[in-house]
Amino acid sequence: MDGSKTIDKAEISIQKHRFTVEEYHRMGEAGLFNETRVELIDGEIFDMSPTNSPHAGTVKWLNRLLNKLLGDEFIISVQDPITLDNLSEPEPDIAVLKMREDFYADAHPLPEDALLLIEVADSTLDTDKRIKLPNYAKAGIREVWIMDINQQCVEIHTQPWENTYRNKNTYLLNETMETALFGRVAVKDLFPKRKS
Amino acid sequence: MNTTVEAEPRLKTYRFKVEDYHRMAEANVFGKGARVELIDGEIIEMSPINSPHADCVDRLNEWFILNFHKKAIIRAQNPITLNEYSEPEPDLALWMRSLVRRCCKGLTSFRRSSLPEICQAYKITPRPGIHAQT
Repeated sequence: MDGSKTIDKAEISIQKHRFTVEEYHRMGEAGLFNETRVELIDGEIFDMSPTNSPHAGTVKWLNRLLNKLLGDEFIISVQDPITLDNLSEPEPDIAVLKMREDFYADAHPLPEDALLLIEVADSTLDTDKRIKLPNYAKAGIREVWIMDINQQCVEIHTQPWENTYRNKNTYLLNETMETALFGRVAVKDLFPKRKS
Repeated sequence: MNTTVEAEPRLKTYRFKVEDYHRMAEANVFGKGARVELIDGEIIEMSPINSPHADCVDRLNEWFILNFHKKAIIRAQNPITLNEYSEPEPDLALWMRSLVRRCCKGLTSFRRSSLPEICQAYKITPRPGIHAQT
């Protein structure tokens, strides 16, 4: 090979298109994603992984519990979209929202409408923390719980600051945690009773 | 501190099919004037064309039209459907008239077997592996 020839390397920059919420909605209206569940996070469209039974059961349990505790004053939203900013519209497992007469039928909730988001995490733990949490912080979501099904513990993230939460507390299954919304609660009461 | 092995992210980006991509264009998702192409399921933004680039494409286009217009359709910066997930827009493409498949929407793609024939027509050898991708 002739080594004397050098190829002038042009600067190659491949720029992936980042979707806005508006574009994302138009795609939905045009019939895309009919067969898949997706969410828009920071301009990228992600496939949502299939839900297994421990995950689904925990979400149902939390829905019932939170509706009992807070249902008169707040709206408990389950796996529905929340518009974080122009580039993100994720679907958190649970969102505790300010009461609104239209139940958000006129428009999806915005960050200031959410008092608490909960992500139930199994195999998704890593991505929930690496991809979703920074975007929740950036949007100013005031409190996020990550419920780790495998470890049976709850991480509470508060005080959003830039891309992160300044405050993180982890509570184990045999502990009791202090919450701003409904006072003291035993961690074991947040998980459904399982036989196996 | 926990030392955990970084797991492979389970969240995968959505892979667009050519079919999705066309529906997006019809629904005017990108708005007017947006320059994008579909490459391996991802929507890629094309960089703006500077004048040397444009000039080069124009010259090539002219030369090929003058010399090849009987044998080939010369297409500048138009889409070509490579497979289910890719529809790039090469700067210049020669579509052999005898090999082109047409449908109601116009030119779509070459017949599946056409690459070896094109290579034969040009007396070139295809790169190993390229045939499988067409």
